Amino acid sequence: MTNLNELKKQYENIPIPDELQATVLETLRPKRKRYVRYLGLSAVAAASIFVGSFTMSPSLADSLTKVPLVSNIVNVFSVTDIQREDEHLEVAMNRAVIEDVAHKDFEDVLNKKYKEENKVLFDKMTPTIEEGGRFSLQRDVSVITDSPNVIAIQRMTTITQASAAQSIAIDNIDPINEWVITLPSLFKDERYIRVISDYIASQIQQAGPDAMYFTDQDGFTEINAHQTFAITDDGKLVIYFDEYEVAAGAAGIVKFIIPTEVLQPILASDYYIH
Amino acid sequence: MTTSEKIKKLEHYILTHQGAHYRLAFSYVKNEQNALDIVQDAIVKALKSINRLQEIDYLHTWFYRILMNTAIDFIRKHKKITLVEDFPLEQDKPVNADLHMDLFKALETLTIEQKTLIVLRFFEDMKIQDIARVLDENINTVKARLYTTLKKLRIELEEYDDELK
Repeated sequence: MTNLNELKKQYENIPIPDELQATVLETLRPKRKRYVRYLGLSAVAAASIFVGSFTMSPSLADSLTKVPLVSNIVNVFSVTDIQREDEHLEVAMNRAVIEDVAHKDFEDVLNKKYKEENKVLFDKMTPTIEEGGRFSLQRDVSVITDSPNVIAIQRMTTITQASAAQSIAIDNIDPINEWVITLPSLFKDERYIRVISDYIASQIQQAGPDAMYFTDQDGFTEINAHQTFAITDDGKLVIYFDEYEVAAGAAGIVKFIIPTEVLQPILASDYYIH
Repeated sequence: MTTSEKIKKLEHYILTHQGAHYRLAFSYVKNEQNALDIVQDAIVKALKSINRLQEIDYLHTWFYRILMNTAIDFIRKHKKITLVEDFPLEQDKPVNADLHMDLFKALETLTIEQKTLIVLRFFEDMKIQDIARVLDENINTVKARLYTTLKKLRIELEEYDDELK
């Protein structure tokens, strides 16, 4: 008998108290509110933490000081916006706040937009909330790209009723030139819709019937001209689809990274996408 | 994957692995009530942060990480255990095969991280790359620490661990 095996045996003989099962169950499913409660808590916790800021690498800070348009480091925060809570209801909406943009106007436009977005969404859901029944609405903000020329601010919405549905919105902000990059602006002309759609269709086909993509008449045909997208830190284009848009709900938010080679011939420039 | 789907996975995972979680917690604190408290705190923390877990495949290592950190916090708060950093090594002496090492006496000489290493690697048969994820360290660091820890326990490593050879 070796030492380690002896120790292992002793380890496996540690008695499990009867209370464990009860404790675990009670923690997982508190009697009255079940786990919905934790959704709310987590959103509150997330809101109190500083979510996305631009911690600049020294090289990046250097390159910025050379561009007179941006004299400050841009900051993005997540703040608690709309909160409602009772026995069946859980609304925890966070909002993006962008600060220290050189031109206040640009900052104001974005901040106003984010405020409006939450309000519109909440107003839209108000009739559903008033019907009663278990309902949870969660909105989380994160920064998914933080590169010298692109900052992508993501807003993820999760609505849980009988089932849950998730949707996504992303702004790709150029902090130097101070504009929001649109999908059409990346390309020479409208051919991009076809080029990207064809690539995604080929990926869906390659994934085969076992993948969760819809393939019948509800299946994917074409991207929207302003489809949700993000430019990654390394300059790749990523196209996003909301839950149920191109695949079964279990697949969640679906994203496709479009290889730059595919886009090369139609790119307006290689400044953002490369 | 939506948050509620993740929560379902987490519930299922915890319900099927609660015994292992409890034993690990117990090996840290050697006390039933404290071990239960740690498991409970870890579950609450996991539920609170599950929406930030990007890769559901890492649920296992992610949860162990939470469990370990919860135990570290717990011990810090309660200070009922003093961690013994080192104890005299008699490395040159041949290992006595009959030497019966009591589990807790042995573990007592280890830091929490070292306990985690031994428990996950040898008692729970976790892969080194997964342990690396639990400890948030790279694989080579984990291997090196396993060597050190086993040396501390005076156990010849190569005999037991094929993955380290």
